Amino acid sequence: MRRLFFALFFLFGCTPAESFDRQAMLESIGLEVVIPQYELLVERTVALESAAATFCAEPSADTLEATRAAFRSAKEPLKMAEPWAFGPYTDSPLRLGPEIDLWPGRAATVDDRLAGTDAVDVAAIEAAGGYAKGFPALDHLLFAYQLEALRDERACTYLRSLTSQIRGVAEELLAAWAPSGGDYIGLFIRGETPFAGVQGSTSVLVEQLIYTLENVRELKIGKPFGKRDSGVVQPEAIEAPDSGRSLQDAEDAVRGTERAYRGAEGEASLGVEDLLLARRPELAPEIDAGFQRVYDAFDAVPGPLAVAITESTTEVEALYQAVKDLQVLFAVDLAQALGVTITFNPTDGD
Amino acid sequence: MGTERGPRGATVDGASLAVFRILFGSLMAFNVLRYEAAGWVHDLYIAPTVMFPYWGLEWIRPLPGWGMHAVFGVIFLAAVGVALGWRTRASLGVFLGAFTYVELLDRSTYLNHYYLVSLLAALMLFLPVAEVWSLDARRRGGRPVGAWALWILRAQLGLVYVFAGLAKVRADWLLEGQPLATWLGRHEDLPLIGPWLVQPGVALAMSWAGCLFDLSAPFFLSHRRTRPAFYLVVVGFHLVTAALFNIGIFPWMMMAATTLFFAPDWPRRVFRRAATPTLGPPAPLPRWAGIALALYFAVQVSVPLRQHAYGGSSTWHEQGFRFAWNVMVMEKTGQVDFIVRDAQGRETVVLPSEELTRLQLRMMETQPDLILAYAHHLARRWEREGRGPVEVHADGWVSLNGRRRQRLIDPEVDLAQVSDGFAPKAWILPLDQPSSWARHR
Repeated sequence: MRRLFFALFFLFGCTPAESFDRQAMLESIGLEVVIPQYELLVERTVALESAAATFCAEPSADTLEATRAAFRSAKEPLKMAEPWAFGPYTDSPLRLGPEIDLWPGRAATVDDRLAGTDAVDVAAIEAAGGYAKGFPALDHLLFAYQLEALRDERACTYLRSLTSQIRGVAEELLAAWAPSGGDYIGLFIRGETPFAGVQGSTSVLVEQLIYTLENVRELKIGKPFGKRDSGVVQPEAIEAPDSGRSLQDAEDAVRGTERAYRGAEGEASLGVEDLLLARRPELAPEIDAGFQRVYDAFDAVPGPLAVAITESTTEVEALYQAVKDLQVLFAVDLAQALGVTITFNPTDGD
Repeated sequence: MGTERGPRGATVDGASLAVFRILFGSLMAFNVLRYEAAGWVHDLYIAPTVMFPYWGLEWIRPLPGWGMHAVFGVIFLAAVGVALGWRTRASLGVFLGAFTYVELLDRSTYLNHYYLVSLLAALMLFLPVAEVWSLDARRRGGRPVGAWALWILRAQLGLVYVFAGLAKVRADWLLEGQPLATWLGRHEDLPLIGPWLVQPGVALAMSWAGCLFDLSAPFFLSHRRTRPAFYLVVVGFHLVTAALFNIGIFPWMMMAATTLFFAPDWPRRVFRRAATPTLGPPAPLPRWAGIALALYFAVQVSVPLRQHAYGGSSTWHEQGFRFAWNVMVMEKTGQVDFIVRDAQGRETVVLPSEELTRLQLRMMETQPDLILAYAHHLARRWEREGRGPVEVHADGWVSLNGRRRQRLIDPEVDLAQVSDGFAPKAWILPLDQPSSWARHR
């Protein structure tokens, strides 16, 4: 009865307390997390392109290592942007995802391209199939081949073409999202088509966080570890086999998820966590602990993943379980607390 | 003409039945158009590679290729036929058959209001709904309409409201304001009213209002003096639900259907149309029809009550949950992985998201009988691929109406060995988080 009284009181008798502004949250995440992430990707891929050019001009162990370091550095913002792998990344006409990161790659496609007579200039690589370009192809070319092989003019042309193609796609991604370009971020913030309002954008955001964690669990860790095939390890399913960056790729994707969840640094910035604190604050510490368990589990696995899946099975199993626990926390508890609809297909209910 | 009592029972004007028939047919035709426009015919009935047919009705399968679009075309034409009153019984029969066929294809698409559509179409098939304002009546002349026809439909609608109200007499709804509190939070951004919707107590007040509305609607609508004012409440209530919740044509259908509670000649008074003369007294309800109706309504009362025979929380275990007018009483989120274990003890994790559509996945993750059906599907798939026999275990977590997550299915149970049916499902773990009401008793 008391609750009913209060309900009527609040309905008719007073001004509502300040409510959470979800559009401000989307704007903060969009402009302070998503766009800077893609700006960083462009910056790092420009550096990668430059490093490759330097290597080809002065091939040496040092310039090769500098190019490899630039590759690792450029991969970080790409992996951290995995929660944003929708819209321009997946949808026609742009569909830029397969252009830059169709993984696991196919080493044979790169080997054949290099050994063959097909052109390897930028235009030819841009027009080639997904397995001949993007980061996975570069992973193989840059790390499976050693200095002597890469001194070869054709190899170096392919290398430079790949870095240019990757930089170009990164710029396209930024342009597609940026307010000054395709302004996909504007659609996301305002909840305009294809997003079904601010609630729709919020749902897509949370769904992408869940989806990213599921990808980390099942595709980046579980599949190579044999979880998807009767316990038989599948090294061919490893994301970055030649660079040995697979574990770091997976951790970066989790860090990207956490960045979207927490929002950008700064008191005025908002993230999903702020919405959760407004709705169900008691859940937030559990999510904090979940992220920490995942990072601890990553630290416990001695890399690279290709070796760990057979030699450090206890640690990999613990990592798989930690990511799964965090994913379930997001998919069940967080989704319930925020009232998001985990679906892109809003058919009628009840 | 309102009601006239003759030697063979009360004769009523068929106008209100005619208006309902026209609105019903029009709404159903419109529904087909919105399904096609939204691409749902493809998404729900053509794209899925796995379906969840009802237990015992596994033989009902979707038609290949353009077949399902053709079925929806048939539903559209039949609905137009119903609205026009053209060969009304045949139109209703075709509509009922095609619509119900679609509804029986996949449990994951179950909706209470589509069940109601099938029931209303089945009842109308035997009722004189086309004696006024129909092509049939124009062709052969209108026949008298017995008052019993109206009362049958009113009784059906009354049952829906009362059971929908009873379904809300639960601690989650009345003491926690759940799931409304969760759903209203989605509308925080609405201009003016949005910030109010998430204020403490608003969901609770709306929950009580909704429950009292459902429980009292048939009675206020049946009483002549309260009817006009309460119909405004009906319209207001359903307009609010249409604006706030994603429940398709249901609000519009109920606003149309509840006009049946008005005097049978209300359309003539509103539209100032003269009554069409009818011939003689109405046909009385045949004895067999009376028995059939008694049986029908006995079933209609029993089926929603069956959920209570299972004990526990029906919103959690969902045994006896469908066809019981449990309208808008739960918000569930869930996740389930399946672990397939072969004879050598080797395990494979299966993510249903790789095979099911998003809607199927969302429904399956929280509904135990769908989880069981998918486990059986996996066992058959392994068998077909020559990798069987296998055990299938579900690692499923669900959150219900704002509670923290808990396991839904006993992970030790080999679901491949469990049969579906009406018997209580011991492999569903009990809900171990009661509402605050139960916690504080």
